[in-house]
Amino acid sequence: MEDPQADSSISFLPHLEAKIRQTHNLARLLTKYAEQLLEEYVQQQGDPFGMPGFSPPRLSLAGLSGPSPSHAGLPLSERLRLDAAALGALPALLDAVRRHQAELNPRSPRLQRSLEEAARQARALGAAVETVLAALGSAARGPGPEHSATTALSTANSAASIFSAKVLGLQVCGLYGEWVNRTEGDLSQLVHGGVA
Amino acid sequence: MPAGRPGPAAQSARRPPRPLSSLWSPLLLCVLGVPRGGSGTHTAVISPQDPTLLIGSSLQATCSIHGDTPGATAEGLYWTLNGRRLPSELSHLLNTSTLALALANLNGSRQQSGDNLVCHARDGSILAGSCLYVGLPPEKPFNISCWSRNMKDLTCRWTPGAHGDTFLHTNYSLKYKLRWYGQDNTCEDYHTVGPHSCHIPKDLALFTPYEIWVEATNRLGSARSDVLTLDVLDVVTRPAPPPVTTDPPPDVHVSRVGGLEDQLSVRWVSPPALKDFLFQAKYQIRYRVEDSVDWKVVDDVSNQTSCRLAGLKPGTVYFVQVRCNPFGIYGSKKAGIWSEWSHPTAASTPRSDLVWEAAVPPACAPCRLHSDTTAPLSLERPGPGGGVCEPRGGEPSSGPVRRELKQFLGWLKKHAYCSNLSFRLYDQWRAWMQKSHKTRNQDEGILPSGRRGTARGPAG
Repeated sequence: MEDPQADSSISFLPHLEAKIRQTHNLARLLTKYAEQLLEEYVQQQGDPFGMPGFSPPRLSLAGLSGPSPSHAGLPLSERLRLDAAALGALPALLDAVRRHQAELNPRSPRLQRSLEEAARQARALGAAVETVLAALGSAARGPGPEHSATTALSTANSAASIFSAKVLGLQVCGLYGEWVNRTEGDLSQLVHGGVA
Repeated sequence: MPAGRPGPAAQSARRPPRPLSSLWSPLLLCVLGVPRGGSGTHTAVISPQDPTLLIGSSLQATCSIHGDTPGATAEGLYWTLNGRRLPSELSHLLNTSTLALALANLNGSRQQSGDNLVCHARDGSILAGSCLYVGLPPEKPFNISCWSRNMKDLTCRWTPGAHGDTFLHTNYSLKYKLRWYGQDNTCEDYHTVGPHSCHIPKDLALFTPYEIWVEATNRLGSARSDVLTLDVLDVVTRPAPPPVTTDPPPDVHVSRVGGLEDQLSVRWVSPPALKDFLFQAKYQIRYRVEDSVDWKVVDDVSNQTSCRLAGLKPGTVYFVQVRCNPFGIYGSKKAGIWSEWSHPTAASTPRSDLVWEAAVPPACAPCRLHSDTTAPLSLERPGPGGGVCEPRGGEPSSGPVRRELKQFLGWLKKHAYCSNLSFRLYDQWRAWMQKSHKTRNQDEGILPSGRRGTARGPAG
């Protein structure tokens, strides 16, 4: 007699694999968009933003930082959880940067649209990664993305000077690219290594 | 995003302290606190923070270093502006922890987000930054022009101040209000037909003037344009469908004028719709002889509702039509569209023999001339409700009146058994004269005989 649960597991796998591939493709696409966003951003802030070697001190946003050097050594499920958490925190920060830029660069509606789209894309990719994690039986741990976002956002909103707001925006756009790129790398391992 | 406000360490007394200054220092520590390379941990603050300055003005700035590491000093610090290192002769050490900068004759800002003035450590790392806004206050916008596509909306465009670029983001706001009452309204839909334009889509009143102006504002001040006053109706670019017109005048009546065989009186009623629209109207009359297709048109009837047609052929049936054209009040010069012609109304001019038969036989008391019989007589004597309308291209009037009157008086002297001379008697005499002329013409074969006593020549 056939085991119905085994049957459902077998029939579920192709869907999961398809979902993983789809999410990986999305991450790869967003990596390109993140590069374009960064270029557009630095162009609107004026020199020295965008100049070779320009490296302002890194802002420590409580609740969100870039992928740590040890990220690659973590188990895949843990990496994907960190990816999902970061992608969940980024939309609020990108929205804060968009509001700053609406005042700093009101004649640059294209930059504001790009920031708005980046927030939407980060939200979509984070949700897709969480779906994959749930399908794999891995639940998210630690503070939810909402908590991280709130903490980081309070820091972003307290940017006291225009120069620091410009630096903040540069850092957020950079973090967005870093985490999308990291997510793409982690998902590619899942794509090539298989679900099992 | 607060702009142009100094931090808590600012030496300038030009701006008040910021309400969120308690959060500023920790954030700055976060921003600037991570060491690069082998340098010690130290931060700095630039004063003034994000100043706004006029083109050509000077700036005195300081970079004050706060060191966690003992011995942190301002020596070796340097400035960059928009990524370019500033000459060392422009800066000097105020004290061991402060580097001063003096900039003169500033140019307009390179980008709308402000010029980036940065204080660097000896190794090039960024210690602090401040954004400079250098520009001009806005000039008065001018040359406002507006138009409406459908009497419901209004689009306006304007020219920014005479010198163009202020080097600062300048916000333009189109305002409007009803002239004698109402509150100020702000247009919301900008850049519809160019960078300096705005579209008001609805809720506009007609027949009452609006005041419209533009306010320009930037960090250095504001300016307001002159006020443009207009009525939306006067700036419509094309007529709104349906065109402004009415039904033709109702109740057109054509009747004889006593016994006068060359005149007909036309009366009509103003179309009811004109009462509601508060329009005035002008009218036009056309008439033709019964068996003709050629109309004669009487213009310039103005806003009267009656007219007397003169110079007509006696004993002739005429068809008459009237139409009207509404035009606005309150100074609007726009005419409407002519209405359709009213249904033809027919009437006939009297025949002279009937007139003569109806005349009071001149067998009365001895005739004497009244003083008013010497008064000039005119075919254009006013009747009730309006003047007499002479047709264009119609038959000429009956000759100089005084010559006729002289003839009349001569006749009276010869037949001076009349009394109580009156204009009616004069009209009767005229009718008799016309009959005499017609009979003579018939005898001479000029006019074909037709109805007895009726001239049936070419149409009137």
